[in-house]
Amino acid sequence: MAVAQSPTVVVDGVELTGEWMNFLPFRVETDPFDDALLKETMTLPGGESLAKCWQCGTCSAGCTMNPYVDGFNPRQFIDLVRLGDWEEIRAKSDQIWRCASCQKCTHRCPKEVNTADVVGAITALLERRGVYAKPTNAEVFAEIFMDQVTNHGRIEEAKMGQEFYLKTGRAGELAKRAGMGMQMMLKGQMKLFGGAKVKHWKGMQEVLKRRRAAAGGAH
Amino acid sequence: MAVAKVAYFPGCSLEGFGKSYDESAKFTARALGVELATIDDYSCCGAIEAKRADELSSYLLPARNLALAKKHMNADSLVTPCNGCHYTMRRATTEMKKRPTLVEDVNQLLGEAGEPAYDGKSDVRHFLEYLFNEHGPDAVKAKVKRPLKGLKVVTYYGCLYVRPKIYSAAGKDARHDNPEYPVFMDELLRAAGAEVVEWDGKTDCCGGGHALGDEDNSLKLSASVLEQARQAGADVLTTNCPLCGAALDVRYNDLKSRFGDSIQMPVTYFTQLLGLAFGGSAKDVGLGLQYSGASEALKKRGVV
Amino acid sequence: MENVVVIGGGPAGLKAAAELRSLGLDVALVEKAGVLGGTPVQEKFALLAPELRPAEEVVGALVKAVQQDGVQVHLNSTVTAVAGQGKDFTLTVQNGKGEERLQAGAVIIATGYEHFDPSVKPEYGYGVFPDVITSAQLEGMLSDGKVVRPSNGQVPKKVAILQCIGSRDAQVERKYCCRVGCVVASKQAVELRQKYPDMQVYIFYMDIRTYGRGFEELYWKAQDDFGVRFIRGRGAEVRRRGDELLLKAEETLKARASETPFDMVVLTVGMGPSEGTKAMASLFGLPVAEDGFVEPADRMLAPVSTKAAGVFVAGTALGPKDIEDAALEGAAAALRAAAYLKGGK
Ligand code: SF4
Ligand code: SF4
Ligand code: SF4
Repeated sequence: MAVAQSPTVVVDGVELTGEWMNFLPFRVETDPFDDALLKETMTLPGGESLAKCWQCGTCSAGCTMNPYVDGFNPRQFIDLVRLGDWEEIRAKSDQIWRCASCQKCTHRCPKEVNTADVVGAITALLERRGVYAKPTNAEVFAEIFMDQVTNHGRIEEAKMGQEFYLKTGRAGELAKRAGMGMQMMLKGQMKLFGGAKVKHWKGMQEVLKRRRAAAGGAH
Repeated sequence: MAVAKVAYFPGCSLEGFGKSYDESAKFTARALGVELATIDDYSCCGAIEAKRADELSSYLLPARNLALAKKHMNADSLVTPCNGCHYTMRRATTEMKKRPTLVEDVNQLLGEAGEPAYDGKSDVRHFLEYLFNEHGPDAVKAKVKRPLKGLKVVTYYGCLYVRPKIYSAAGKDARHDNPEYPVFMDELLRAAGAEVVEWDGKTDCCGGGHALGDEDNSLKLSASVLEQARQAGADVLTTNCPLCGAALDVRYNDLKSRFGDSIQMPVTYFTQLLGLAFGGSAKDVGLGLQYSGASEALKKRGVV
Repeated sequence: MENVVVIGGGPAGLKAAAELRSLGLDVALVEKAGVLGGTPVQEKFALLAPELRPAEEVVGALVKAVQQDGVQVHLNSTVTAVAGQGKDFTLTVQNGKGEERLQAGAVIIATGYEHFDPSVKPEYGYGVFPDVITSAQLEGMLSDGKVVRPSNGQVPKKVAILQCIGSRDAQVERKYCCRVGCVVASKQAVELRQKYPDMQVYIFYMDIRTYGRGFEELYWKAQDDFGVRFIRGRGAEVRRRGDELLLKAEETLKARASETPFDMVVLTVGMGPSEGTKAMASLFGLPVAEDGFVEPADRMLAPVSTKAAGVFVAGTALGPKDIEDAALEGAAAALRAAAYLKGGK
């Protein structure tokens, strides 16, 4: 914390003088703008358009998640990253990943920011910097999804659900939903054996594996 | 009657939760003289998950399908009934048209994988938009055998049919739907005799994308859609997206137990309603696969 | 031949015609509408910013000068073809009765702008909810002396004015600023508060841009003397709830998204090139810039000249501007045309 160096300091209207005033912290931030966060986020997939934002608030005003998650504000997320305010961004880590990807923000942004993708990139930044003690549910889901795509070429929604509950340690909920699974199988929406598989897929599987490994992270 | 063939990309969902959408889409198309020919050995479009994992993969996955459609069916454009696939694939085609080096990079990977190359030119259309433009309300009217008379419907388009404009081209010209108040489904259903009820929820988000990731909020979003539909006084909600269908209909019992009667609202696919109007049976349009009481609601109105 | 045809009878064209006459040249003025005065007259502008002078008084004076100075006025007329070049043009002019030909040594294009059509952005509910109107419509109401909600004929109690509709917006391929919207909104807010002291008026903006002389002062006046509330956030969406409109916008300084009920929402609509401007640009083979407006020969050094010899341009055909600047350009174009005919360049 910066220490006041000026000969006089006014706190709440009272002028303080004397040696002891040197211990009073400045109430003004010194050199608060730090581009490092901005630069890092812009290198992540989807983050490219971040710096175009002019903070108009069109995205936040219409945002789907804003009324549901206190403090969920795409405009502000962008602002904080741009200011380099890591502490504030970190404090919002449990909100940011909840973006529903509804694209309303990108749809309306007057400044050609791909806002939804930028919010995704900020989430990726938080993941990369190890803010989350364990992977967010969204991350687990994405990984299961990409595993299925990589291995089989297609996904199977019901199986994805099973795996998700197992991976996030909620086998209990899975059991609760077994009823639904049975119903679905009877209706033929979920195949019992084999499931969705693409025939000509070996080559693609190799390529996707390689790409994901190169992209790093748990994905 | 000459049958036109259309390159059809069902996407993963239509083999799973969206099975009734798949069946009814095919039925409806057949009634209009179109065969929805599934692209042989198609694969997942990558949804929004692929771009999280690796940017280039999010173009590679759509490109494989577009290249297959071209190779096997000589099709420059494909039709998908899924809003999610529509978004992902239009994002890919738009970006690849804008950045030719992307096509090169993708083709490099396709080559390594032993897949045909993509020419970078294809177009992707939503099945609803296709129906509206290539057939339209008049063609629908001409085929109606059992008008949906007296049926009050709210049309629910969800997010990714119109959003975002930079990919969907919504509002750009008459061939694309209105970006905020889409109407193509309204007009087709009106032509089939239904009464389309105005409401505010047309393009709200159902939360389906986070059905597992953020279940609590996801359920709230779905509940809000159903509740608004109920307040609008609809007999059924009808949608053009299998992911919305999954969120609203397949989760119906979860939603009901949590939010009670205020969300009571049968969920259908618009192709089911059109199929019924074209004389199809409940079985033809997979009505038995709905969880939220669609059959009962439609029976009450004498539609089945 | 020392004869100039001026196309467009708005402030720029009127000023050009009058100045040409004062230089002793023969002038024909071709106007599409049935009256002179251009958009300010057709759209019934009320008071003009920043001096709050009646538009009638200002535009009326321009019209009068033209009428008194022996300008040959062709109303209800459009130029449909052009032949010749250098100092010998023949223009084909279409009017209600048929076609006629006009000879000209030089031509001044002052075909103006038209307002952005906000139904292109359906999120604002224009054309869906009757109480969502454009700034031009509000101007007409102010002119007529009564501001009422189209839905029920009552004076609104709470009005929101949304800035930059169809301006500064890549989604509608209009990246430029309308240059007058901020002062017009400030002026309209002042007029509303003057006329209806109980009315609450909110202006939702991204930045307030007050370019012209006296513009900033009017913006201050709206804040200082008339209690107009300026909210820093771009309006995102208008819905209807019962009898009210609900505006979704974020107060960005507070980082709070809100839904605020209003009786009336006014969209401060941007300017685009008019149909006439587009038609003349293509008829005379003039380049248009990315923004759709005519590109002059050199924006700094030859701002009212064009690539075509003998063809000059003035006013909002060159981009958004206020009446003062439009008239100024009209005078400049008159001077250029006269110099050209006198054997200069
Ligand atoms: S709408 Fe676009 S420019 Fe405006 S605050 Fe959001 S991201 Fe920034
Ligand atoms: S995509 Fe995310 S940030 Fe954008 S509007 Fe939807 S929920 Fe909000
Ligand atoms: S003048 Fe004001 S209202 Fe007009 S575009 Fe510029 S900032 Fe927006």
